[in-house]
Amino acid sequence: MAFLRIKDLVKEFPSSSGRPLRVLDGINLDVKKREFVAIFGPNGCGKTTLLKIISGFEAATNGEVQIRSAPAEKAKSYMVLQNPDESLFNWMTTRGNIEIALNDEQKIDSILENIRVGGKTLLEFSKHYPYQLSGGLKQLTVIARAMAFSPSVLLLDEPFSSLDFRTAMQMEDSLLDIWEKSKQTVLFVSHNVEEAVYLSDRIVLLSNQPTKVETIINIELPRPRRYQMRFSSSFQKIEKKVLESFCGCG
Amino acid sequence: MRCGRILFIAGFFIAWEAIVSADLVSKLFFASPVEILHSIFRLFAQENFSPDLGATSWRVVLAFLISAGIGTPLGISIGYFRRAGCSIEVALDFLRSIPPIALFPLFIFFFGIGDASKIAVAAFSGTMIITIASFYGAKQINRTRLTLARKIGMNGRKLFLKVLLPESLPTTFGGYRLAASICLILVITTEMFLGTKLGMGTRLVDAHMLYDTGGLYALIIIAGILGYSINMVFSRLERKIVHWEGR
Repeated sequence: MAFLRIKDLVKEFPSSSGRPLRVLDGINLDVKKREFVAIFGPNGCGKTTLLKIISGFEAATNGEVQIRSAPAEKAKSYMVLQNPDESLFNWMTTRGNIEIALNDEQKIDSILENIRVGGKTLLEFSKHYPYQLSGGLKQLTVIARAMAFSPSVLLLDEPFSSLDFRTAMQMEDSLLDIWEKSKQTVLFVSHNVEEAVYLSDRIVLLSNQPTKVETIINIELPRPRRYQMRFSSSFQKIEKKVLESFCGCG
Repeated sequence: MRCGRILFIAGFFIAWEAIVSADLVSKLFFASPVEILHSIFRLFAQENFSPDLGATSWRVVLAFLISAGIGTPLGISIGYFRRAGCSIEVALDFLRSIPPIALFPLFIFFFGIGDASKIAVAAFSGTMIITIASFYGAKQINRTRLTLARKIGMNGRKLFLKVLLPESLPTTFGGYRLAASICLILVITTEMFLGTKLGMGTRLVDAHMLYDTGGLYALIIIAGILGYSINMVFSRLERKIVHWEGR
């Protein structure tokens, strides 16, 4: 039995025409424990909706999501949203924002210490308020909170899409670093093929709306992943394969 | 620019002094700046005004604290539980439309002619204002952030103190400011009615009865300074407490 099982998942939204708009049209997916799965698909195909259903933010119209054979809303999951401002509380410091998920000062210290970006650790910013942080640091704070909460499934919705190229690459390495240590099950929605290939074990390609799983591509690259791998021929071959499948179906 | 402003103000007061001293206007209606200054000095030095000022301030502070203590959680609850909120909103809209001073005679029946009825009138009005402000504050709460907070296990008191209250505080603070000013107005107004021993309202009525125009102006100016100080205190507090607003 898979760790996370999505079975015949359907989501419809009411529309002005009266006929419901079907966004997810029977999604099936099995995810293993500690797997890093990237979800890739065209704009508006319902990637965010899918994550929101898994994390219990939204209810499915039909079908089900099970985590450890139990309904997903009962599982301990955490969703990192695209915009960190939607997750962080502006009246709490970095530390305060993490403390609401975990009441253990030492553990928080070690989480903050282990999250690095650009030669600095997040611990150096523990007394800062979110509005004093850059976009990347804010998103790292959200990820640190997710770590502190230690969910059985971590869901990330294009978390680095608003960052510049260089920062996004640093963040990807930070995320991999954190994941290597914690080995949580991760679902990562991405807009960027290179990012998806670099991070994941498998890429799930979604079709246009009404959305189904088009194909699943295994990423057979060694771990831990390193920045240089992006230039290797095997990396580029996979990237090409993903793009071809995507264009073929899109 | 600054020099010009000082000159203008100085000129204004000199002209005022000259017009009153030259008997160009009735001394019943107008007191001269020197006379007003003298009255202010007299109030504090000879007529033991401080207890009156203290009594008024005390009533305002107490009325405000009651208003904030009831209005903040009430408004947030109505905004948070939207469905229940809809029916309460109508009742609230009616209650706040009642001119609070109209309730004073009734409150005297309930609370007697002492401090309690005065504070009750001011607190009634303040509570309405703060309830409505925090209601709108809570209505604007980011629902995603709220769901997230619940997902990571926040609920009850923790959710209220750490999420709902701060989320609505920027809007609520506008209500605090307004409520404090209204409390001052209502406390002074009710002090003008029967039986008050100490208070700025009593002093105003006394000055009026004695045709003490200088004293009247002095009291009006002190009331103005008091109101202005309340505003200043709240604007400072707001910047300090709601430090994240607009950032």
